[in-house]
Amino acid sequence: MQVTLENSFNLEQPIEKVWAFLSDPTKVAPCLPGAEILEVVSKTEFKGGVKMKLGPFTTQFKGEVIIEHLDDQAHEIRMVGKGKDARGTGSATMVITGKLTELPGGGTEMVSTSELTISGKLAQFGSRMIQDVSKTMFQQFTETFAERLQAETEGREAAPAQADAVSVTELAGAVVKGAMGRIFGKDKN
Amino acid sequence: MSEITSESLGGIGQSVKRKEDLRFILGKGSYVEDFYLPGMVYGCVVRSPFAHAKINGIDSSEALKVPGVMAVITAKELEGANLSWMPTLAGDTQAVLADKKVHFQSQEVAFVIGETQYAAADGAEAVEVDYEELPVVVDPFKALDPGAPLLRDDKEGQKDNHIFNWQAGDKEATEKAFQNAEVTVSQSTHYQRCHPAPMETCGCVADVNPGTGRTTIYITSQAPHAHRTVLALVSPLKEHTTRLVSPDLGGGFGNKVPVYPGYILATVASLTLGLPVKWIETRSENIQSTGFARDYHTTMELAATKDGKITALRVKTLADHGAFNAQANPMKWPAGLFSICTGSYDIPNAHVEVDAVYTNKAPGGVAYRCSFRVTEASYAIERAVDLLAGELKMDPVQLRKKNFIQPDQFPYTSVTGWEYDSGDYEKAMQVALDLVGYEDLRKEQAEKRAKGELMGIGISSFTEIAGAGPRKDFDILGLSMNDGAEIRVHPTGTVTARFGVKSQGQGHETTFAQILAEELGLPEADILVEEGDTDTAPYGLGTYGSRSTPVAGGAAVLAARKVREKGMKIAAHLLEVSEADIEWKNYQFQVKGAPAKAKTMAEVAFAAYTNAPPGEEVGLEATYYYDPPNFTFPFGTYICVLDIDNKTGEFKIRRFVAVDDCGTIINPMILEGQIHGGLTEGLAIATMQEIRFDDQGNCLNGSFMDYLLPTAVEVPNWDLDRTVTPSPHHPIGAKGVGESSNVGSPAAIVNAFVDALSHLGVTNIEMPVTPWKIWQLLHEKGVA
Repeated sequence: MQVTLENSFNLEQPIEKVWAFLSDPTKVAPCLPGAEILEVVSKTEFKGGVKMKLGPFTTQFKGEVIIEHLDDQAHEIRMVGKGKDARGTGSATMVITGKLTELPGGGTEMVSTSELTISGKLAQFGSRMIQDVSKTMFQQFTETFAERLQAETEGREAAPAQADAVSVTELAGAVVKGAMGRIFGKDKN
Repeated sequence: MSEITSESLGGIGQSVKRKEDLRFILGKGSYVEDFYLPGMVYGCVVRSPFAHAKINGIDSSEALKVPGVMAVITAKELEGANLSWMPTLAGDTQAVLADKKVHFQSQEVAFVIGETQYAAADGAEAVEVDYEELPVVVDPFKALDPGAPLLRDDKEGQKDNHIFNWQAGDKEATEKAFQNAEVTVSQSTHYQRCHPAPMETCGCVADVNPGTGRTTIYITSQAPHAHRTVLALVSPLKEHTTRLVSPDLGGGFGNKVPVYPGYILATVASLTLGLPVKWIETRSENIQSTGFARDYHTTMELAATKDGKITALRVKTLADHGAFNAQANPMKWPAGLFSICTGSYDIPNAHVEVDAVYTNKAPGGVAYRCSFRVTEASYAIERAVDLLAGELKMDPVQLRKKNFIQPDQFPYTSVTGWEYDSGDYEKAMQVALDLVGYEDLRKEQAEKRAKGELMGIGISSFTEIAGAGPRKDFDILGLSMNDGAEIRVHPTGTVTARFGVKSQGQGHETTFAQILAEELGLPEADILVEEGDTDTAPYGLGTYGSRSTPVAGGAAVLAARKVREKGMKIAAHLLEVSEADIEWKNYQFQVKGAPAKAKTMAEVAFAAYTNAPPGEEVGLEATYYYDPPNFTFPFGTYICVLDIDNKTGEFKIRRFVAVDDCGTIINPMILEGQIHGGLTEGLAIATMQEIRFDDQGNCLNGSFMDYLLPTAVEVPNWDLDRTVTPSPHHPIGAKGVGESSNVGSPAAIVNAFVDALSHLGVTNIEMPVTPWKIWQLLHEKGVA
């Protein structure tokens, strides 16, 4: 199944700093819950993994990340991550594009799209939740991205990378809360 | 002695309480899961997460390290026994375990045996399969594209994804009738893929005993004899030393007709380990991998005169059969009885064409509470007639009346070749119209429309074809579709009767006892009905397609009459008259003209073992294998009345009237229960159920969280009534009723939805009709 998410958010950092961070998968990957870069093959090729917990089983996607398009002038990047579970329970492909624009006043706007295609157990059992789960994951990604970028700029040690398995069940809990919030009008978005 | 009556016996037509219910209420039923044999171990299937992928390798080493895991079986192990592929009921082949590639998500890839269910499940998680994903074919129309990936490259000579083309009727005459027609209508529709989802999933306990040389398999089977024969044909097992026991079944609805890989795997595992092996599906495994139903993409067309006389029917279907052609249909009839799609109408020209294709979906094509594709046929014609009524601006009732086959036309041979046994369609329809108050409802509808309120009245006047079937034409893998009954009358006048069919909740233990009570003059309470054990039951092809009463019911009657024939001789001996002077009357053997001189069946039974006439064999038993001369054709009219909220699309079924005619009624109470069940499933199909896939072939609703079953909250009150038009060829005139209500109801419900929105220009809504779909339509039309 396929989920496409579009997202835009503003960062207080100048564009070049954000770009330096965004164009380095070793920095970006740890912002995604459960993800890590295991090996830098070349400037544009990386090996990595994502751990996810769905109920009783943990699935570990291992694969590669390739930067397909990198434009330092236009501040555009397109990364394709492909992975499959070692035990053969599924596969996932994620295409992430990012584009930065300088904001008046020194900040940066980041517009990104992510297109997630998954097959296997996650798609089978999570079809009802995957859209919301992806959204929540992406929100966490955004927050961590901003936080780690800020930490790096300030020269302090970033919080350790969260390479623990991300629990889809916990995310689903957050999703349910979000949905309840929507129903009861707490979430004004 | 008091007079013996049908009522005192609990004979035909009596609402005898179901004998089987007590044990279910007390929790004393015995399902496959209830069998625990000494030393039993457990199997768990490793299933494919992908819809189409090459298997580069399977590594079982980690699984074998899991504590309690005893063995892992893959296709490689099966190849040695020539069991990695098995035949399907449709004469295709199906992988028991995928060897070179997987063809659908959840396909069986390996089988892990563990000392406990937990060990087996943990072991299954640890099996590592190296898949290489291949392009997936989900859309059956795209399956026929020239560039489409070839799914069944295992089949020699298979060049594309096409399975068969099947036609019935007269193509040329139909084309001509369409060319000359004053009015034509056409509608494409999808009778969606759904799943019977019985409460009990499939499973078995296989016990291959190396000591006795006997194999016993407790199995969720609607057709234990047929399944045993298939096993004997494909495996080293011998039929006479193999015993299949189908105990209490928690529903079947066609889902327990096919032979599933799990049965074979548990048996192979038991053979290998010398221990009993239990394998029981989870709910998700059941929904995702076992026999689905329907999935017919159909274009139906009618030609008619301006005043509403139908002149021709044309039906073209693309059938999505999934990865293996495993539908349960007789060999000569690849689209089953689909050509019954002329329905209750006297249509002079018809042409029906079905093409079937392979896709990357689970195999199946079972008849979900219907007789071999009859529901799809009934839906097509009943929707088409409403479409024509809309086009002609004619009341759908009047249009139906104008085209019904008339009572004096029976036996009626349809243009697609079926000989309808009996019917009075207008009578059944009139009962339904009167019961629902049709004229008043139409007036109310007009008033509501004027106020912008939405109300719909949907009609379906279906004709079913049940009781497969006459052996000249019908078989499953070459086996004649006939069924046996065996009666043993014991010395004390009680009876053990055994059948080749297999109840899954139909109440055979009660209804067959009632038929025998009526025929033998013994109380139903003294008649024990047994089914499902191949060691004891006479041969038969099982229960599905509403065939138990039409076929096994016929066998019961004729076996009982054989018992009576012998009883005449014994009674003559006891009464010291000649056999010619004895008659069977008032449920006993009487001397003609002297009814006071009589012997009951119980007295005759005692004499059969104590005082048999000289030269006569001792005992009172009979066996009969019944070959029905024709099908039976149950029919009826259903009317659904519903209201729709014009802002939200939510709906409420206000009335549902079901008038059924299934010929002679054996037990009115069981009949009502059957109709309630079928209507509830019909409602589920019409408004809730669809097995959906995404573009990658992931099954999107493989659990009850997303695949819905109706509960008491959604189910309306069912108003039932009936007419009785006996079948002229069945020994007691019975036609079968288990499935009519599922066959007839979806069209009535969808017709009601379309009727409610027809003034907005809506001519079709695809099942399942949900509030969301209705809201979208209302929104599109500017109403909501």
